[in-house]
Amino acid sequence: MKYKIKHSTTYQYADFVSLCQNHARLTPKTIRGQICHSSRIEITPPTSYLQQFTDYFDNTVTVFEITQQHNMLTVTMVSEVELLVSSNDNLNKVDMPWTKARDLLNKPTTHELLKASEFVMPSQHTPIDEMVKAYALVSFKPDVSLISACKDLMARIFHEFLYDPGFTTISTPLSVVFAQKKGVCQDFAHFALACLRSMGLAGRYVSGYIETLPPEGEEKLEGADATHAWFAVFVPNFGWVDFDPTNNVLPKEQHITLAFGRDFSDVTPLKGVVFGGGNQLLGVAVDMIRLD
Amino acid sequence: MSVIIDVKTELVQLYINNSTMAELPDWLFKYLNTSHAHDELANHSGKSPDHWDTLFNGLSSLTAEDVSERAIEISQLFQNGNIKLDRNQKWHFDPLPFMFSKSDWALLEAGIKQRTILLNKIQQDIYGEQKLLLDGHIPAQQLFQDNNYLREGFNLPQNELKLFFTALDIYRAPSGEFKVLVDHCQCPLGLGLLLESRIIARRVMAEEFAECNVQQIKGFLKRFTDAINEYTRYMDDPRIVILTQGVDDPNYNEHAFLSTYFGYTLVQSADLTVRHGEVCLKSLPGLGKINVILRWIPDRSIDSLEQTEYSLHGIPGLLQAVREGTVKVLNPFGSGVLSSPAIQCRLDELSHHLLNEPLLIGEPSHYDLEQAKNLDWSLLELVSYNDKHFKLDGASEADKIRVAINEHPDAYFFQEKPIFSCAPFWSEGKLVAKPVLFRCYALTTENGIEVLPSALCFSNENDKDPSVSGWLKDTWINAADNLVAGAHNIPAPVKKRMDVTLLEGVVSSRTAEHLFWLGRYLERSENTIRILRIFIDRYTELAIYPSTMRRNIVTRLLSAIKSQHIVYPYIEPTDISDEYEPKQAKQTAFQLLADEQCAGSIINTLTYLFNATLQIQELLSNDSRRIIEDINDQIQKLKRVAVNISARGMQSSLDQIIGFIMAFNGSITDCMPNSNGWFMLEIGRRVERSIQINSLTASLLSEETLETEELAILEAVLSCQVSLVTHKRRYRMYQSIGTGIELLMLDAEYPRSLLFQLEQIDLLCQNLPIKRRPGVISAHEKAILLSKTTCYLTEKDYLQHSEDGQRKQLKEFSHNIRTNLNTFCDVLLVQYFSHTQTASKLNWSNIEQIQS
Repeated sequence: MKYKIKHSTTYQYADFVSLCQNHARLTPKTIRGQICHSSRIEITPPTSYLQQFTDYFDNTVTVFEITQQHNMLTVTMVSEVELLVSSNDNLNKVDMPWTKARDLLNKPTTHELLKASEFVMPSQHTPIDEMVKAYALVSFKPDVSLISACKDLMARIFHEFLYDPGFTTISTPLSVVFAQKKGVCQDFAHFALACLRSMGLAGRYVSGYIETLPPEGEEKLEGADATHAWFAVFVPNFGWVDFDPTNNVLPKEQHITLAFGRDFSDVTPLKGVVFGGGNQLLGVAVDMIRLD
Repeated sequence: MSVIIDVKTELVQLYINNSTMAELPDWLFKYLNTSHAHDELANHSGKSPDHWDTLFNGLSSLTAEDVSERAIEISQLFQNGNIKLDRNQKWHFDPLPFMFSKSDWALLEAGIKQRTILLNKIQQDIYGEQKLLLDGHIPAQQLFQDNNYLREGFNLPQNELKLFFTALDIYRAPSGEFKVLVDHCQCPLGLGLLLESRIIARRVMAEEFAECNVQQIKGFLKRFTDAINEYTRYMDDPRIVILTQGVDDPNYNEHAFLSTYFGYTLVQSADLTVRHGEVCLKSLPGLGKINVILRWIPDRSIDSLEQTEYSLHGIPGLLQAVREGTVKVLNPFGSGVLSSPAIQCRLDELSHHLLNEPLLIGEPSHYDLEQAKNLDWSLLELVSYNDKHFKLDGASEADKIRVAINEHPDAYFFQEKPIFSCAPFWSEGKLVAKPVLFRCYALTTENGIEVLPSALCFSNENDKDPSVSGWLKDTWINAADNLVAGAHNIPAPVKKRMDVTLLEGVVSSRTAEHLFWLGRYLERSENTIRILRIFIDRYTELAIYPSTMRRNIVTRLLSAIKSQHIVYPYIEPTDISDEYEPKQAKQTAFQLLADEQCAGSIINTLTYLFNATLQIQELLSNDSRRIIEDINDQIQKLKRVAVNISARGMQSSLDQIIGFIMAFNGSITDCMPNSNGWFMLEIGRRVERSIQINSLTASLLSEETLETEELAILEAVLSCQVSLVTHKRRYRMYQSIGTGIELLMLDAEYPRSLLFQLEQIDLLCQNLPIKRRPGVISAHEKAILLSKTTCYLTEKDYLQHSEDGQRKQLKEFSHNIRTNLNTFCDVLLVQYFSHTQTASKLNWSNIEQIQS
């Protein structure tokens, strides 16, 4: 399946901005099951400096700077991504008791395990406490396989947590999300990561897009698609396997991956420093169009 | 002097037997005669230490009083050498140096070299291939959890990983072995302190210094600058800066000292900006590219764009510049991780692994929890792999330890409590033993590791006196054998380098602005003092010889001061001005002197002045700094002045203050190279003086009264501007308000006139970089030109003319001048000092919702 993605972010400022410097993590990745055929970033006003580098987590970062005075900034990323049909049948073959995965990560012997072991550590947005651990233990019973346990965890979050836009912001602590059992995709991803890590397993935060389908018989609205977030768990000798707790599915043909990290703060799609500007108004529009 | 004592301790016996001294001086005898468990004077396996002998030989003729005198001299020099921000914290610098024996130093030097090589290798592996993590030499999880393991440090060019200037704290354990307490691989502190103490030691102990043949540290400092020049070898005009957090940093004095010593520009984060992947200094001529940054701020919050940890001291985009290779940051980014306990406690093993040799200077012995089970905890302490500052005492906090290791068994390990050796320090007329640490410094250069042939020997032992933050000694190392060896150690310069000293110093816009304000405060304080002097003189005179005229004059002066017409903020008089009663005179005088509520009071102006000097401290000479310290003393005195202070008391206080201000002015006249932006100070001074003259004449001379009274008030005005004598001489035949106005405002050649100030400002502005099209003049030049022209075209009779008892034309004239001066200052601010704009963070705060 091929998609064309258009992701626009607009900032409107009350005052003029004399200088802004930004980092964008908006380039879709080329990884197993996904090929990014092209990507093009359009920025207005024009940039005076534009570079790319690859960060610690292998995400492509676009660095840009605008020295022209402006009161509106638009960053649009247009990309073409192909999702390869991958079957999850192999999963059963590589599955193992979760305790074995934990032990392997504890004493990493390969470069892969070493890199993965970094995702066992709690991070800024995924603090671990006894309550989280207790919640996780319900899914992670002894002798249960890693994949089954993760599926169970995903399903529990899907059923027990209420999807409630507007209840949380990025600064809402995980403990509030857990106590109220409410939030949005990034809260669910963070919570799932905290659970995995409390078990000594490696989990990473995935940011990306999800295709939305209009109700039967209606036209799809422009800009109606959205950025999305989910989590992935590391399966030794295999790699990372994605789980989407917001929709209770294993992402296959509708999830496009933008970036990985320990949590949201590692993958912030667009961040920057502005001089001047005053109050700001943010607008985001995502379109995900099937090409074939 | 002889000491009769029956039983001599072993130690005394040793020193007497082996020494060439006829007799030990009393003060030394007393020290040696009391037993010290683990003392540097004793710890030499039964032999008298030669290295101390030479020193004590030199000192043997000194009495205790002599040593005390030296101690006092040192403390004066030491205290005055630097402006102290917090007067309660100072180092106590000892009159006796610390002596290392040749064998000890040889061991230390080799050990430091080895360790620095090792740390370099580890740094390169951690931010590179990570083999040490993969093969388990460094436990990955411990490292990943360390706050100083910086993921942004990856993807930087490999050659950005070499350490530059590092330090380590060493102590001598009771076994006699040296051990390392901690490595400082990010921002090693104390070099400034060491330099300063060496300068003083050489002055106060010149003879002993020569006799002991002390190794110089100059060579090391030379190689320090050489190593930096190495990085800028192919550049025409390399710009090197020292980056500090600013006056709030507890070590700001040291940064300023190093900046002065090495001649590198001292900058704060806000002075730097990144454009097009290059780091630039906001300087008067505009943005200037920076090539090397010696950072004295931690790397965890050095780039507020790329790093999660936001800090005001961050420079947005700095890491991208490093990544592009356009700037060199020293020490390299990420080096803080080397001090992580996860690495520090495994250095011996790592040394075997990476260098194939045992570590020459190790850490305090450490044990994992299993090993420590059967050990006596009272000699140990519990430390954490993740938190450098975590420490629990094995004796007094055993219960806490049990709880901690029960909760997180993987997070902790035990290490032996470090026991420092003692060295003698001079305190209250005698020697006392204090535990000491040695901070040694190493430099990684292209030609290997250089070790500073001295150390900062210090003791942090809590003192009875809370104002002493620690005790400090210069450390001497005998040079005898090293002279020859050192000679061919110095590598010949690879290629002919440009003489860096010829290049102009760069001054940041911030520094330029502080210089401008310093000039204004200097002039303002001088002027306010003169006004206060005249005012006190006039009201005391009124008390002795009461008369209507004197009463009127005191009332006029009082009103002008109270309404702030002739003192800061120089409010322009309105038609209806307040009148005050002369009985308020004394209280007003006090307020103008020492009331912090009064905007233009002398105490406030001096405080601003003092703060401005702190900001430009690195440009001042030692002598100027000393005067600043005196001015600060005066500020402290003013804070304690009582409301009922006598007129005489006030006058004498004013005399002292003006003396210091004159002295300061004198001390800076010679260091006025324009390249350092000193002309900004002169502009500030001239602007302030213009405003003063203008305000003084407008508010005191614009009202027409009886001629005798007018002349008396003119006399007061002229006295305030130190122009009384000139006026009398120049206008011998006839004196009037008109002649006074002519002299003070319209005379282009009289150095204290308004027009003269304007001419000077015009000249000084030529030093400002041009920021306009050719063929037009800029707004600030226009403002000055307009004022000048007005002065040239105006006649004194026109200004003297009055209607209904008011000189409206004088008022209008003065108002115009004032408006132009304000415009001038505003334009200057916008065009040249616009560095104050601060950045705000723009974050995509919340991810968009999906419609599921």
